[in-house]
Amino acid sequence: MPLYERLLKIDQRIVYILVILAMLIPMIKPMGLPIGVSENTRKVYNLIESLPAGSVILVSHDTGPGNAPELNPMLTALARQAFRKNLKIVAMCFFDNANGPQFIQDSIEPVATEMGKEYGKDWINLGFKLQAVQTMKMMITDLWGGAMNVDWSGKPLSEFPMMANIKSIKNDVAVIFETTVGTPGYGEWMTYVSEPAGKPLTGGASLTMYSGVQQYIRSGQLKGFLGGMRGAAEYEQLVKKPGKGSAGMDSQSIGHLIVIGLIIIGNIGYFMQKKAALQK
Amino acid sequence: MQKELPLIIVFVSGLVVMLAKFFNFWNLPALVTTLDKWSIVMSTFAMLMGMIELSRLHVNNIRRRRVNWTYSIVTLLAIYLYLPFVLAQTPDGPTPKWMVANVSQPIGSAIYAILGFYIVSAAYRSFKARNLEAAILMIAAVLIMLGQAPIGETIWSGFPKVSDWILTVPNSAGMRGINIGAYIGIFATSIRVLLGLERSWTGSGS
Amino acid sequence: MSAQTGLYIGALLTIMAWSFLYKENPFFRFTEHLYIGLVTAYGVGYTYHNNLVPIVTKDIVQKGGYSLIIPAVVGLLIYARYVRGWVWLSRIPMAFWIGYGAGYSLAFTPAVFMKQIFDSFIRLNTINNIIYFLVVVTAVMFFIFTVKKESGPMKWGHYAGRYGLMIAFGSAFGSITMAYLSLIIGRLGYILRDALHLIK
Repeated sequence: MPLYERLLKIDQRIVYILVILAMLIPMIKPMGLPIGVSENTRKVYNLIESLPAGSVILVSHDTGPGNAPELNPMLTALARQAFRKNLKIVAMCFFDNANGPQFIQDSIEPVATEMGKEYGKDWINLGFKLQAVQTMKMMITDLWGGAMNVDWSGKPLSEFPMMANIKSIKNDVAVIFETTVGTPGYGEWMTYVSEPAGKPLTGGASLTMYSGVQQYIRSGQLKGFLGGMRGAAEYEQLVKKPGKGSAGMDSQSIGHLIVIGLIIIGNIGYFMQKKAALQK
Repeated sequence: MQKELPLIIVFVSGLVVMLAKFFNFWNLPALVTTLDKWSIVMSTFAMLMGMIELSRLHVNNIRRRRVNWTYSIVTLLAIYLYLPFVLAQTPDGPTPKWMVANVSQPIGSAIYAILGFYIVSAAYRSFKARNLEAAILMIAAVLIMLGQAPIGETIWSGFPKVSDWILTVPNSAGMRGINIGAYIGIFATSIRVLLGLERSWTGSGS
Repeated sequence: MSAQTGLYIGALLTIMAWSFLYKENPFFRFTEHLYIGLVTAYGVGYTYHNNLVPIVTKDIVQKGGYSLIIPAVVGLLIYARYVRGWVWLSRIPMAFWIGYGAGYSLAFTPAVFMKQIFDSFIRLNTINNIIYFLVVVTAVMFFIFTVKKESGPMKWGHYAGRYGLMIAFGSAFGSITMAYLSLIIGRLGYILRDALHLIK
């Protein structure tokens, strides 16, 4: 078999093993590569930082188990910043009813416990809601109604002291923080809530959406943006508590080198093949 | 009647929402808020649809002994053995909590993560500089990867700046062009739906 | 069952799902079918507790919102598709959702859309702004299918738009690669850190 053919036909299982090794080695022996903080991440941090104590952040955590490694660390870092500033968090989700509510719980609860914050007093998990657009729109004037008057476990909202002062997005919410993998996402929040109610929209998303949201950042419709695991890692740097986002960055780096290396190998093979065909 | 009624409902419900956005007569905005709630209530009462369809599919698989029918038993057992626990204990009960954390989430994440392996394989197989367009596509992808991963910055401090420029200028503009096309498509389709010209959802074609 | 046992099970299920990378096999099929069953059951149970119970007990019984029985009945019409001769009734709730969705799109999307258009007509005083404007315009030209593009400005706009779109797609691919690698990192972290405690 000529060399170019070998370069072009690497067994895909070898590719998979290379990927796993590229991810594993930096996990076992971290390199600690520096992570620069981007302007977009800083904007998110500064927006939250600018809120007065007691302000309410409405979180919509719209992810399934697939993209959770990218988005859950963002929520954890947000909770850390919010609780340090004595802000309140009202969280919910529209994407995945089977996993979303638990993701919210797992991402916020440990930070709340660590920082002495109480469920129902400083933060609440409203869980998954049906009919995203209708629910969002209802919540502008009637947050309780949109939430069906219950939290994720089905307990009435009247049992939670913080909810006594949080009745609508229009009057009681300072910022909407959306973490998303697509739909529902920025499009829905922007169209039905942040534009009509005049509430700032910020948050993060899977990097699958990174190129698509740039236009909204540019037009000012999205105030800052956390891009995938990298964005989460940058946010963790700003809240001074490296977590799962930062831990994955070395693996990301080596993983990318492997991808680029494979692209180069493929192209060398391609041009060698082309040359051989011309010579024939 | 059987054909016309759904089309009338489409037109009227769409029209009410549009009028409520722009006008304030007949207390339309309040009516739309009520309809928002109605829409949620309707979805709630339609909640068994997915489970019924899935059960029908898998029961048929078993009945007709289709390929891999034995796995249909796994799905049916999972639904009907697990459901009583969720109903009895609420979503934050011990069994649902344990099952979500240790079974649903790991499997869901793992299956989705398979895409990670596939995308690397796809990049290796398909990213060839066959012509100018393909070369532009490949170079943009590589520069974005180097700009986003910390190693890129370590190799050359300019990579994040180049990647940032690609993202915020040509990429953002290209995506905006795509979006403008998509928005126009949404408007056109919405108008066709309201006017009853687009009827594929009824199962009878347009 | 202890938390640690749960983590072992989660790690094992991850490996079973990944066995698909080698080839199609019974372990993968088992996890796939198990997952579908579990999330379906949880979804129904969740909606029961978080929607059905509050609607019936609080909104209808306690608050006397008997008008909600109307949408409840309309929602139930969706099951008419299983009753021969009454299938058309199941289109009524669908018609409401579809009409409502289309109305929403037409009423609310322009506010977001127009902002995008206005933001594209920028002062052409920097190279970046000129590039931005040209790429937006030519990308839109690329998507015009009703005008002939064999010669003149449309032809060149179409070509330029194609290159602009290639950069956008390349950027999207680069970002998506990074996103998907994160998913593998998440799973490996779960196995090595959370379940086996091999790394910190």
